[in-house]
Amino acid sequence: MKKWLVLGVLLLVGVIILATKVCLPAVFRYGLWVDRCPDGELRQTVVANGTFQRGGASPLYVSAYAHYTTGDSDSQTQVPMNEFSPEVQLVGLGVDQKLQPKRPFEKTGDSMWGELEIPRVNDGDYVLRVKVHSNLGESSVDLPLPLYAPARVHLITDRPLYEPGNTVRFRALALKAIDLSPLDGRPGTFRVFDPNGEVLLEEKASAGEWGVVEGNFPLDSEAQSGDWRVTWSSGSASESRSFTVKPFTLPRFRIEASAKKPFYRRRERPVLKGEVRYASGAPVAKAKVELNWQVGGDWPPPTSWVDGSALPKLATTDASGSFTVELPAVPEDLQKQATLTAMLAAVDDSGDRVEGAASILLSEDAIKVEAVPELEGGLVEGFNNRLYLRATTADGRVLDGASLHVKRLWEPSDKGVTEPSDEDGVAALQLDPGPPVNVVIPAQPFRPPPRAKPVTRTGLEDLISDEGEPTLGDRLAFDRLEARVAECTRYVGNDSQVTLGVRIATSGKVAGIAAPSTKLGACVSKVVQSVATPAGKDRLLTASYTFDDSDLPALSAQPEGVPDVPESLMAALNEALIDVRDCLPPTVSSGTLPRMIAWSYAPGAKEVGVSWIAATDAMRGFPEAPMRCIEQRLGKISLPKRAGADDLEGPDSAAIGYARLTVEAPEKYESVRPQATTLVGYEFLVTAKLGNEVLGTTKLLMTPGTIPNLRVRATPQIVNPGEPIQVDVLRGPDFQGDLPTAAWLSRAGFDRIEAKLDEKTRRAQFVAPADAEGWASIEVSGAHTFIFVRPKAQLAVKVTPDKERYAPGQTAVLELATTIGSKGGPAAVGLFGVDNSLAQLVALPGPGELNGLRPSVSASTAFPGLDAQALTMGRVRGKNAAAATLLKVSSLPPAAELEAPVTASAQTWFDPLEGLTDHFYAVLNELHRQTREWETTAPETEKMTPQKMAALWAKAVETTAAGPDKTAGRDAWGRPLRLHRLPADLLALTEPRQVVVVGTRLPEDTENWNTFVRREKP
Amino acid sequence: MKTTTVLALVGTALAIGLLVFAGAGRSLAKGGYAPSSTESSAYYDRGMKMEEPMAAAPAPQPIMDSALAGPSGGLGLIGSGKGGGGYGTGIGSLREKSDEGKMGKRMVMKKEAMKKPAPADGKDQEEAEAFGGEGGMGAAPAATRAWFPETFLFRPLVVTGADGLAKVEVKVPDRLTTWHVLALAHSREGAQAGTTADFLGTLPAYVDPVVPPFLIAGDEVRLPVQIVNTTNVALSSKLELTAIGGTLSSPGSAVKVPAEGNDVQYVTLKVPRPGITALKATLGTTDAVEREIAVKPAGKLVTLTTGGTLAAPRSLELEGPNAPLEGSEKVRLLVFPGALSLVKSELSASPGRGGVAEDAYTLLLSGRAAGLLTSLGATPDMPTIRDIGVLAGQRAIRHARSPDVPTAALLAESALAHGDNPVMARLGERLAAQVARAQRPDGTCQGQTGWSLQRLLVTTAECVRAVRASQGSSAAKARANGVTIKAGAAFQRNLARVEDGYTAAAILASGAADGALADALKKKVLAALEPRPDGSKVLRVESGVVRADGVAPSSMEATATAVLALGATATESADLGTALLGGYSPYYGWGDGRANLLALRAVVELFKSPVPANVRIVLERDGREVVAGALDASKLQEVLSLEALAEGSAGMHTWALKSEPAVPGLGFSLTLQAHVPWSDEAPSPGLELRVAVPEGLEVGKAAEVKLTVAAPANLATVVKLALPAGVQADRPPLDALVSQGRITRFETEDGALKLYLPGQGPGATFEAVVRVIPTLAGTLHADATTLMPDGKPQLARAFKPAVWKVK
Repeated sequence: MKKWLVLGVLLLVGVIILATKVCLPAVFRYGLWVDRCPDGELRQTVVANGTFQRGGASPLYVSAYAHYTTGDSDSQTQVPMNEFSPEVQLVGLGVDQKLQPKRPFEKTGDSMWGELEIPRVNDGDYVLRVKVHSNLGESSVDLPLPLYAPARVHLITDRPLYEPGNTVRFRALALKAIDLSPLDGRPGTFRVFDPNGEVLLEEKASAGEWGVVEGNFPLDSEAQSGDWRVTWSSGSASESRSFTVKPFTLPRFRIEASAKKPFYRRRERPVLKGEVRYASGAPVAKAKVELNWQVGGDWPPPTSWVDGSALPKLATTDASGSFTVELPAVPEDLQKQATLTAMLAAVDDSGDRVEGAASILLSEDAIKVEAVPELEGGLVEGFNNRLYLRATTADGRVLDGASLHVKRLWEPSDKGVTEPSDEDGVAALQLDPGPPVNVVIPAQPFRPPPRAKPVTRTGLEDLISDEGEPTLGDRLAFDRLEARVAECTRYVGNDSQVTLGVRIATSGKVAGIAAPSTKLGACVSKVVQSVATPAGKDRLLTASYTFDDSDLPALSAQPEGVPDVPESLMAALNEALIDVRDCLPPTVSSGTLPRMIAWSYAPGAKEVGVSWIAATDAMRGFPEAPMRCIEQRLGKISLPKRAGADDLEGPDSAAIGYARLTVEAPEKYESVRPQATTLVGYEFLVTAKLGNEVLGTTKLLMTPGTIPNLRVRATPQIVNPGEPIQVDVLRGPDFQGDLPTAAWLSRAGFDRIEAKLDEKTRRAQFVAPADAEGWASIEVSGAHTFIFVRPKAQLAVKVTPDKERYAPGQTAVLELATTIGSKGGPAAVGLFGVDNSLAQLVALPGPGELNGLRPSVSASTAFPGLDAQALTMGRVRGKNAAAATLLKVSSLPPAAELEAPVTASAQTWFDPLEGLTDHFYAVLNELHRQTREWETTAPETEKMTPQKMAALWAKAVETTAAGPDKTAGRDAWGRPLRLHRLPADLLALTEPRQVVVVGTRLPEDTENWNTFVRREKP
Repeated sequence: MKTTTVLALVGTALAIGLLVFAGAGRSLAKGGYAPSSTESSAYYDRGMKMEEPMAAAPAPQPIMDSALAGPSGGLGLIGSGKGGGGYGTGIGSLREKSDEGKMGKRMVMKKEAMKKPAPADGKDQEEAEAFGGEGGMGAAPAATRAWFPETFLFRPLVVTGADGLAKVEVKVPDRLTTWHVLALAHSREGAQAGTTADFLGTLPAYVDPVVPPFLIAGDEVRLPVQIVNTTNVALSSKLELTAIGGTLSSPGSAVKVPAEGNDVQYVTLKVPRPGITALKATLGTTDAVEREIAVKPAGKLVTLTTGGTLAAPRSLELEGPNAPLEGSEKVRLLVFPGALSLVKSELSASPGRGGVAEDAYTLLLSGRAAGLLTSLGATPDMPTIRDIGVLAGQRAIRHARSPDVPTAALLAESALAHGDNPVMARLGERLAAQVARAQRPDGTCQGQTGWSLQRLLVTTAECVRAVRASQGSSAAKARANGVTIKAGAAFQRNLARVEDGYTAAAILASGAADGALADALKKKVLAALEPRPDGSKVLRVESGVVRADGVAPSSMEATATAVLALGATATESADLGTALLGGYSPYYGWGDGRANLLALRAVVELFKSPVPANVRIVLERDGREVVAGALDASKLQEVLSLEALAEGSAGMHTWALKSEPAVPGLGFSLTLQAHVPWSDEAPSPGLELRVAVPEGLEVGKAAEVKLTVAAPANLATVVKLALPAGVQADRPPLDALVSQGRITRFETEDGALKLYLPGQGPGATFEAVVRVIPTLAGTLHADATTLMPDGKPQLARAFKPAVWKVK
């Protein structure tokens, strides 16, 4: 008994001690271990998250929290609930299904964990409703669950260009990413963005049958011009399309032109033929056609082509609307290829104008070859290289059925190899090029840059006039002098600027002139002396000129004489040489002139005797005309006068000798003169023949390449499902170690298939899977190659109008035919019809619009027009072309997922302020009402004290709680609204000064409201 | 006169039907640029040909413009199959500008009439067959070509049958061109394909007037008319030219076009007035084509509007705008029977108005239209209302990029009226939150030092209304409660200082006053009501009283506020409503957007019953009848629109207006309008522009326009150089300016060239020469050229346009 008593006392003491540390009621009632007991009711929130997938294992984590307060109405404490049980429902789109976890929920930390299986419901936005049952009751949280199959979307507008006020129509197509089959009923949203990126339309639009959905957007008549965008998005799939908005006018007619021949070679005269036609198809007769030319390519065109002086600029259409222009012959120095582009503008009788363009191809050779080596980088010496070679005409047309002969250019005795080309013009050659050589890359022809303007008048002022402005007549007169002033350029020495003072008399003639005492100044002065200005006032003009002699070659003399060369002769010669600079053409090369001066001097003579004799080591081919000009100008060489004396500076004794004349070409031309370069590699001569007919020859440059340790070759590389594929493993010379034993065939989204590698033949065999379609790779120990499995049934569509032409208002019947494989089969067709004249303003979408939907491999282009995309679309026909194309594939497209996992999380919130605020304002409203009543009815002497306001508050709480909403007088914890529990901002609204309208009802001595409330806890 | 009027009404009715079918492509710009009398009669002609073979009823002066019967365009909105058109850009702006706009004008032509006579030779026979035996050169009158869309076919889904075949029929438009069809196909098996096909829409011989996309009133332009003959026989025919909305130098002449040849005839077109000019060219029985040219107004629009009710004959002294441009004086009378007509009228007209408040109003209207129309017994045309909402939404979003609080308050309620539109709902919530944040601790909203208390209280009321519009979440509701109570306390504190009826009404209408406060405010409102001679009442606006934006409220706005404050059942509200009806104008509604926001709500509350049938309306100027019309029984839900040219209205005149019988609830709006020459806007400091248009301009010859721009240093600017009709900017020199870095980019469009200029150095001016090529001869006007800081259109300055003379 005593023992029990002691035990009971101890237990009581323990409970008392525990009670000071833990709120026992909370433990017993809710299972919560909290140190202070909650004031008011407890609230529960739920957190749930997980990763979900239709038909797959989907983990879900659920937590529950208890919220309580021990003080103010807006304060709270949160603790996790230890015990609760979750329940899950999938809700939405007509579905309301309870989901059972595969195993009962398990506790993990503060959460419960369970694994669900999401049923295979239709695409759409669902909700995973998670309910929690605990001692605090039931709470639930909704996880948004967008369940969408991975999709690919195509979006198109009815046209790419609109005017403000038009309506934009758009059509989206939703396809399953995994197999591109239509996603009927797929939910989605259209959005339209203006040029600023602002969303102007957001409209839900679900795909209908065949995955097609349409929408429209009427543009405001003041819609901003610029690039707009429309998107259709559904789940994580989205597609965007741009369109332009701006006022425009459709052209009434169009101009089209093309070269008469596909390309032109050296010495041939290109002919451009074109026509101008109204949109109706009728010819535009007598249209004026303007042509502006541009030349593209590495080859530098002649200067006269660049400035357009040699190319036709105008043409006129004949009665049939056609025009023809003939160009000058293609220069002899054309290298490789260049493109002449004509920007065309046609003006019809009515003055209306349209623009177009045409191009003419110039080609050194009649054929063009491109090569794809099997080995990385190029060809390898001492190795059996496989090279895919494609020969086309210069303009890129396939040489179907031609054979290609390839021989080394540096080895005259090489017989070369010959191989036939396939349907795509590609031949496969095996060759050993031997060691690489230095191949000379010839220099491009030299085209001198445009000539500099020799003189610029930098100023003309009238010092006498008030504004300093010369009259228009004076300006014009000086303008007319400039060509003659330019002739003085040859006198430019150290100083390239000249300023003159010119006094003009009332008659308009020059009355006086002041110029620098240089030869340049004298020359300019002499020209200006002749200026003929209009009669008028007396004028004193200053004219400034800046000269640029960079286009003039320099000429220097290297005299030799017996007994010696007198200094005065040297000076006289140099002075004389300045005068002949303009005899030399600007493009002259540096070197010694073909004839030199033989000079002689006798004492007392005023001039040096000059004759001309042939020079040794002179430039060859120097033109005769400039030489004669020089000889004429240097016919007499006068000796300069001695300084400060009347006599000449001649030597005292006779002398005889010669002087070589050396030309120094202008630096600006010398520096840009191209030079031949070299390349280490191989240069082959390729000849294309059709039977015995030589279609053309051209050169092929190749660089040295490297051999990988291991290569894989598949045969064939384009296969049908079920066909065998032979795999050969090829070792490089540096390969060491054991051969691999297996080859692997991989397809995106499927398991790999293994095939044993025969040790002796190093060969393996696969069979293309019956369900395969598209790209696959074959890999052997890191080396890989690619194959393409032809689709079983390719789709084709054809639209045929019942007539070629219609009168306006007639009904055109468009016959649609869709074929799947070789037979007609059902398909969905979208039809978009526009005025073709729009194509003159903006590029219209083409038949390849949907090509981008099919996942594509990473690849570069093998030959122009032959790439992985072309292979996918069935446009590569030749075996060699396909092999070369596959060589350029680098990786498979990423596998499309059948079902994408969705990560979702959600939680419920409990904000004590929310409930508090709602109820507070209801009570505050009542407080105001009661205060108004008190203001009206209370004795005039009665003032609104804090005590009175607190009493009114209590009454207001009571009145509000008596209303229809019984909780209206309580805070979020279910406690009556007490002033001392209110947060500061709400309490401030109850301050007597805020509530009382009539200020005289307030006491003059004001007690602080907050202090009062804190103290009194009303 | 009665017969004439009846005929005019019949014509109007038919034209309305025509325009509805046509999508009211002939939408009028703000202010409604009406065609002349001859224009109208021609429209009637077309309408009757289309509807039924009845005699043409050319409407004599006074005219009733079919297009201007537009307010009845509201009919299009309720799916009654009538109406169309619309004032301002109205419904017309909702229609495809060219795609559908003119479809309805195609005259129906019987096949027999289209049949070509026996071909002269085999080739003609082939051509005839190629054209299906129609549309060739025949003896029957040629159908008028007038439907010129850019897109003629949009069929998102055509499913081929099991055999892979399908047929699609499509009407070939009237433009003679190559029509391009793109077909994109996909199969259930996951394959895709595409193809294109072209066909020609053409005629063996045709006439093609070369028209510019627009003209400016006052332009005199020499238009080429091309006649093309692709047959192998010479064509001798008569070219007849007519113009509606303009005058031609020649009615046409005989033409001879050689086989496989063409010919160009020139005709000078003068367009004195803004609106739509239709040039029709008829080549004998071979072809006829009608091309429309939008004629933009020259000068500034000046309007004078008055209104009232027709409870008794009205006599008004009105001073018309002085110095009007020739042909621009018009008078327009609108009579409004009941609220339904106003709702429909406003749906039609409001999208054509501009301005923040106006756009807010349109947005609100489109958000509530469905409910309003349904409640008034009409069936709303949801697609059209949706389109109005989309258009108004575009503008509202532009205004709401970084709005000040008054703008936010204006737009919030409107945006929230589109609760099912996520873009608008987000916008409305954002704006409501912004407005709520602007409430101060004392319960008032916004306010600045120096504001009058009256303005502060009105602004607070507006804030409350905006915040209370957002009730989409519990947080929003709490926010609305808080704002309302705090504001209520503020109103209570300042009750004694509320001295005018307008402020009292605004507070009452906000919903923040109840109980004794509301009673006190009601008394103040009632005390401020003023009776008018016609028996109606308005709320007096005291001097110095302003609304939230600092502008004095109009009498109509104050009156509408009073109706909303007192409630529709109040005794005085009927009289107030009468004034509201009379104060309505289809151009401006009841004033600006703020006024409209309130007034339409008030009217809808008050007038739900139709007025009596067969009411005759007569308008006289200085004792002479100008125009007359009748509200017939079938149109009691329509606004009656009467319009007449009113030359000589400048200065003071006496206008008389009466209805027989007098109807107290019948409102009218009378507007005098004219365009007057305009000058440069008041200088905007810091932006200067000189445009030197060269002389001696010739068709086809490039000319250089010199631009000189001065702006503050480092300020990027945009010059929008207005170009007259037919003048094209030459691109290469502009490309050169871009490559030189002198301009950052440029944009060309019909009638304008935009140059984007980088900031210049201190004191530096931008000078550039723009090369342009005129393609049409004549005396041509341009719009005003504008200069603005990049991205700040509100600071744009317009410069007086020049006249271009092109030989």
